[in-house]
Formats: sequence, C-alpha cells, structure tokens
Amino acid sequence: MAAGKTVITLICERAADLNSLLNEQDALSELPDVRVVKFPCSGMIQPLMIEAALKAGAGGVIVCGCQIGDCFYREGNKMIRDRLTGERPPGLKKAVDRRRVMALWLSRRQKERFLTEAKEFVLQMQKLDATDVSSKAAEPAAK
Amino acid sequence: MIKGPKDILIIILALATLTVAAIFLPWSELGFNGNFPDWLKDLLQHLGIADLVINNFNSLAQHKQLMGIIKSDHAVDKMGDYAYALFLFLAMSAASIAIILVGKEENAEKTVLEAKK
Amino acid sequence: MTSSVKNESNSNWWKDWYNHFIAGANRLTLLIEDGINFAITSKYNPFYYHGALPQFYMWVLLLSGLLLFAYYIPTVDSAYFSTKMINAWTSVQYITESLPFGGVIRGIHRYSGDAMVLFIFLHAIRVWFTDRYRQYRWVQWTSGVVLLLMVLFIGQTGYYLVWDERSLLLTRMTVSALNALPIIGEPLKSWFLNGNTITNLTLSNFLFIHIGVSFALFFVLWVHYVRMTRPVLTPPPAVNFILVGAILLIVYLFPIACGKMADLNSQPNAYDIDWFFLWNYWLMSIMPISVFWLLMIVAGVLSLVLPAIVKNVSPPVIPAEVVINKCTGCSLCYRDCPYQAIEMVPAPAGSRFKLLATVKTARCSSCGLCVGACAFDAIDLPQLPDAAVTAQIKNLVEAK
Repeated sequence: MAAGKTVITLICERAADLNSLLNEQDALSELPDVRVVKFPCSGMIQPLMIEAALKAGAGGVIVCGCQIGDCFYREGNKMIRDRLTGERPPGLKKAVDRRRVMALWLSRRQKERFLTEAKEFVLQMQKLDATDVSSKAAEPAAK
Repeated sequence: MIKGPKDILIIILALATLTVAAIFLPWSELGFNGNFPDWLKDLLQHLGIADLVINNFNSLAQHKQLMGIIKSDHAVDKMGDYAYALFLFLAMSAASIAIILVGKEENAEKTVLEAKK
Repeated sequence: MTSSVKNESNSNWWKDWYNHFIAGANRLTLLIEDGINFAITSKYNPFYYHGALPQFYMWVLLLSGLLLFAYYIPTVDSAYFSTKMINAWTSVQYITESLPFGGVIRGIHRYSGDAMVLFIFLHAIRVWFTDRYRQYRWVQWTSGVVLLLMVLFIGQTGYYLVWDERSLLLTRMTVSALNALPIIGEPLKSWFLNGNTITNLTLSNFLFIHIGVSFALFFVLWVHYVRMTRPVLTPPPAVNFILVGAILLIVYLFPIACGKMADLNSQPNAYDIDWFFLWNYWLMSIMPISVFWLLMIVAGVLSLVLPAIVKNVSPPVIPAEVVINKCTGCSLCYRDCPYQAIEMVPAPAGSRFKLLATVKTARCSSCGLCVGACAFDAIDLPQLPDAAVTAQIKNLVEAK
C-alpha cells in the first residue's frame, strides 16, 4: 500500500488515549495512513461524516467510543453504535460498503488494543482494495 | 455444544443450582433436622426409597460437623429458616454466575457491520 | 494589577489541585473497571449501573417492609390481650421467633437497608470521581444528597420501631439533640415525640414517619431521574439474584436477635451500633452536642452545594444551537439527547414544518449527540460545527 488509502479514525476525547501516538499531521506515528479526528463524544459522529470520508477516497473508517455503559455523556456510544447497525435513525445509506466501517468501544487506558485493531483493520482494507482492483480488472475480459 | 472449560463450568453451576433447589431448600423448609412429616414418609414408601432416604438423612443430621456449619447462634429454634436463607444464597449465586457466563458478550469492545450485499 | 494576578493564581491553585485529584481518582476507577470488563465484560460491570444497585435494594426494602408491617403493632405500653402482652416489642419478637421465616424477612429488611446505604455511598463516590455530578448534572447530585439524608433518617426510625432498650436510648438521645437546637428545637422535639413525653402516640408517629418518608422517596427519585433520558433503573437480572443472595448470606451469618424490651423506667446506656445508620449517634456520644450539630449542618450544606462550589474548575459549557431555518422538526435530536435538554415547540408561523427543536441551555452538556442525530445540519455545537468536522475529514483523506 505504497500510495495507500487513508483510514480515518473518528474517536471521542475520553475513549482510548491516542495523544501520545499522534504526529503533527494528526496521524498515528506507527500507522501514518491512519488519520485521527477527535470529537467531544462518539455520539456526535454523523453517518454522513462516514459517508463523506469514504466518498472522498478513504479506504476505511474506524469509529471509537468509550466502553458501552461508560459514556461520559451517558448514551453517546450506544447512539452511534445503533446508528451504524441500522437500529436508530439516521443511519448509513445502503450504498455504503459496510465492510469498510468498524467500531471499537475502548476505555482511556486501552490504546494498545486500539493500535492492534487498527493495524489489523488496515491490513483488511488493503486486502479489500486488492480484491476490488482485481475484480474490476477482470470485468472487461468477462464482457 | 460444549466448547471449552467455560461450558463445563456452566453445566456444573446449573446442576448445583438444581441440587440445592430440589433437595436442600425443601429440607430447610421442613426444619433442617431429621424429622419427616407423615405425608413425606408415605410418599417415600410409595416410591420405595423410604429406608434409603430416611437412614441417610438421619446419619447426616447427626453428623456433628454438618450441623455445626449450619447452626446459627441465636436462631437454634428456627434453624430451618436460616438454613433456607443459606441454601437460597447458594442457589441464586450459582444460577447468576452461570447466567453471567452464558450472557457475557465476547465482542463487547468491537462492532463489525454486517455486509448486506 | 499585582493583586488581581495574585488572586487568580491563588484560585487557580486550588482548582488545579482539585482537577489533579479528580483525574487521579478517575484513573483509579478506570483501572478497576478495566479489570472487571476483562472478567465479565461491560454488560455486567456494576460500575456501569451503580445507581440501579441502591434502587434495587429499595424494592427489596419495600416488599420486606410490607410483610413486616402486616404484623407490627406500634404501641409502647404493656396492654394485655387476654394473657398475652401486646406492644411493639412483643410484635417484633413474634415476627422474629414465631412467624415462619419472620426472622429471615426481618433480617432481609435490615440488611438491605445497610446495603442500600453502602451502595449509595459507592454510587456517590464513583459519580464524584468520574466528574459526573456538576454543571448540567447538579440536579441529580443535589437530589441524591437529599435522598441519602432521607434514607438515613428512614433507617434510624426503623431502629426506633423495634422498641427495645436500644430504641429507647436512641429516642432519648434524639430528644436531647433536638433540645439543643435554638428556637426550632422545642417544636421539633414535640413533633418528634408527638407530645411532650414518650407515649403510644410517639411510636405510631415513628411508624408514620418511617413509612411516609419511604414513600416520599418516590417523589425525590423522580427529581433525581427527571433530567436523564432513559435512566438505568435496574441492574441485569442475573446481578439482582446476587444482590438478594448476598443479603440472604448475611441473614444466615448474622441472624437478628431480640434485645430486651424497652422499659420507660429504666436508663439504658449502651447499644450495639449499626455503622451504616447509627454513626451519627456515635458522633453525638463523643462530642458536645453543639459541635455535633455544627458538623452535621456544615457537612450537609457543603454536600448539597458541592456543584456550586466547584462550578468553575472547568470552563463553562457552551450549549448547542439550533439553526432555525434548517430544522424540520423530525425530533431525532430530542429523542437522542441524554439530558432532556431539547424541547420540541410549535414551529413559527409560516414554517413548512410543524415542530421546531429548541435547546434548554442550562441542561445542555455540549456532547453533540444532537448533532450526530441530525440529518439536516440543523443543530450545531458553536465551538465545533459539523461542517468544519466534515471538511477536516475530507482534508485528511485527501492530504498526502
């Protein structure tokens, strides 16, 4: 993934503490393709924002909030989780590739867990990109 | 069905709950001593296990260590009631631990969306 | 000029210390919570429904109290019914020693009360350590302190009702404590005793207070819950089993014995202390009564107004704002707001829509859940408009 696709992380300020892992470009030092946007609460994340990220060319979106049950504002993480799973409006449009969206619910201390999941997610997205490219390349031959 | 040590533990806890509920709770209600009411003696006789049950119960009841565990200092006369409280605690705890083991969400920290296509 | 700078650094000093303390306390609770999450996952973590725990014990108390009430007789004298003496003490003795499971029900009632006080304290501590008690949450905190005071008072009246020697001593200590209050002491004492001396009217008054204040808890609980949408009221059912089970274990290990019947002619001077409810009587016994009252009143007032005291340890909350010309009145923000801070009002005349969202600024936490719920870009946090966030996302994707 030399000119790799960006993975956008939408994370709340009280979830996993990534401050020590970020460089000046708001990207993870260990995974420069992962760029981080912070919110006061994961409940503020609009599905429209996820769609905008994917439309602009992001390879994937990681949503990260606090442990379910421990949202500082009581319900934010449950709200965004239910919006993503379709149980609560507004939801993701049908056209959105749901394989490219993952949600994590981590406490402030769990930054190592976040890194592990982010690394695995980046690899998964690379694989997805590879299969998409190869299936697109195969089409003209099929025609 | 049985995938690992957790499932075995759940079965053990479920059996413990049932044992306590089926045997020790009724025993406590009857006073947790060796006295059997007539209707129970008749029932056991019908089932053919009267001697087996009554003899074993009596020897258990006279077993000083078992009674020593169950004896409450101030409540000697109402020992059955307090034994009931103890056994109900055991049954409820076993049941709730089993329920928690069954119900705990392994993926509580991650949500992956189902690809609809 | 110099004095104003000095004042600011002085006040910042205690704010910094306080914030450091809370941050450290929060780290401690997080450490414990992470351990519990590892073992039984967040679904069952008691730190995530710590308010529901005392609420559950309240139901146990109501039910066990109802059962006890059926057999309790609120009199002090030694009336005889044929050859049997009947008064409060003998009715309690009857419940404990003759009624099937009476002693167990009595034990459940008393120890659930202790458990409720314990869990209220743990609840208050966690709420305080995780900084969830002030600004837009002050109503919850203050009503919570009121609830705690009511629960403590209810428990104390419960100890009077037994009408054994301890009850008599506690009643007399209460009377002398009330006597020590200036101006309001006398009327309070007459109210408490329902007269000038201990009579049957006194004990029926205690029963009325015990049951009446217990039901009044519902009203204060309504205030405690009113500013929260979908409050967590019950622990997971499996946990409820353990909560009841724990009480049953304590009942078995420490069955309640009946003390000696109260005799108005005697002067009992010692009693077994229940540290959950009777700690204030211990305080009364080790210090002058005026010091006791000063301590209680100062501690009570400070607890009630804690949110006001620490109001400025952090910057004020900037409430969300509705963009009136974009709001369609779909009510999704109103549904999602965790603090009842959005109200749907009739849309202004000439609008295409029926309803308009409005923000009740004093309740707003600036969390942004309303922004997340809005599909029409019609509500914003002024300090972080969602258009800016979306633009930042696009920039980060396109930047190389």
